[in-house]
Amino acid sequence: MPRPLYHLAFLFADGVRAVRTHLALAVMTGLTIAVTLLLLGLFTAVYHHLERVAERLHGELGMVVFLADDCAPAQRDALLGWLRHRPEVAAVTQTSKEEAAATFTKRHPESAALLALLEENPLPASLEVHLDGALTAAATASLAHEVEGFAGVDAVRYGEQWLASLLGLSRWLRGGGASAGALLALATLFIVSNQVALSIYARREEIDIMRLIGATNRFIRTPFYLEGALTGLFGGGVAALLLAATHRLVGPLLATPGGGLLAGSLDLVSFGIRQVAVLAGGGALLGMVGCWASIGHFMKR
Amino acid sequence: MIVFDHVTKDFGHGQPVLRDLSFHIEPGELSFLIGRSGAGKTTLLRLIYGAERPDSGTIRVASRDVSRLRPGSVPYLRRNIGIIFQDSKLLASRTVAGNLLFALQVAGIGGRAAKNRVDELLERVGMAGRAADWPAELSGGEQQRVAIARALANDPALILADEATGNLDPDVREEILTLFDAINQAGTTILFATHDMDVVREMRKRVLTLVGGEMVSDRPPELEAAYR
Repeated sequence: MPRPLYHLAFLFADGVRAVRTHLALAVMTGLTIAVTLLLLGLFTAVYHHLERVAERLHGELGMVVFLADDCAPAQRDALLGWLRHRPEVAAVTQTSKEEAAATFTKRHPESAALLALLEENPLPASLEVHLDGALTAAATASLAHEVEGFAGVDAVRYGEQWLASLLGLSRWLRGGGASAGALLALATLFIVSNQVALSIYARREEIDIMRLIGATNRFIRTPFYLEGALTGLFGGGVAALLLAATHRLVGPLLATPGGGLLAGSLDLVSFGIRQVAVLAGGGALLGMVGCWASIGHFMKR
Repeated sequence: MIVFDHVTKDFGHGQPVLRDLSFHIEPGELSFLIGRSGAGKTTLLRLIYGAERPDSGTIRVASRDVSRLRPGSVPYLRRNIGIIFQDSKLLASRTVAGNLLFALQVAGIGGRAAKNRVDELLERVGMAGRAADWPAELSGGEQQRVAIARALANDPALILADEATGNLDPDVREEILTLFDAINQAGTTILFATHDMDVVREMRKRVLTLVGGEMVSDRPPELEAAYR
């Protein structure tokens, strides 16, 4: 085996030995990292899921353009032509005032008499705009704003309030998740750095001897970084397992018609090797940064 | 091998610990540094292996100025100096071989070469066949032998011993001193700090005497023999 590999193997064995020596502490720290990553993962999954639901629903809701009573046919045709040339518009259906009244009467026969009492049909003519499903909420709002600028347009509705609530919730989840994640990550770093500090304290004699026999700071630090990384890797692995289990349990529920608001919607964020790697890597990174905070302080002494 | 040129070290607690010390030790010498507790022996050794810096003066070890050494260079200096303490400082969590392998690994020696070197070192200090023992299973003298083997791991040109026989019975002490003598005969420079005059009398070597941080005498071996 080449010399650098011996060196690495020796340092790795030292890191493993340190974890074994403080196994209970390492497991507790690893579980803390797991909880942090699990919560971050759940926040991220729910946030992405809501975003997808919002995207899908707004595509289904489409857009309705209500025309003013004094909208001239030329104005209407100009708007129709403009809409039909927009790439994000899949189709446009026209509804005249008379068709609107007929539909109203059909849907609400009990109120048909009321409509008949009125001298003038109060229902406006409209254009029902079917949007491309991939269109974002922001793009829909932008399109609606442009349509509102056309002469003869009275109002544009595209489920903005409902979408705004849903997107607000997903934004809140993103902000809340990021804040909670940052706090949890800080707490985790604090715990990891304390674990390493304890480990350093337990091995201070060994470190003194290492210094006396000519060990460089890098040589002394490496096993501690490995200890942090291994602990974090364990935490990331546990978080990945728990998230995979959650995905497996909750995913089918969301896909069933009884799944409530989100029933029949898209599946939870797909959970695969990439997610496991991100969680394990994140755990290892948390472990190493916590270690850095602690050992950096120690090495300054 | 070691040159002190007007070296002063002051920790700021009143009097300097070492005052205007000047001496030199030739390669291959075995010298004793004597003085009572607090005379400055340990500080002098710490200056040599870069654990402290002098406030003034220059220290050269193997022609290298160690008084202004960058912190990053100190480990490389120490790989050429074997240091032995009174309490042996073996790692209780490692076997005899593990302690030696650890020192070799620090110097970048691993694998079969390191294992062969461990056998060779244990043979040299009279501990062959004890590689698998734990430090707690060894007597004080045996632990000190292993500490000497560890100090020799990198084949250093200089060995610093700080009260290395302080905890040992007279018989064991004599064995350890004989071992130091053999190492010196093989060409290694040794500076042995002690407050035990029996050690000095047994060995009949050059003696540097520190009192209150000052070098009050520097007697060569022949003169030291005459003092007996």
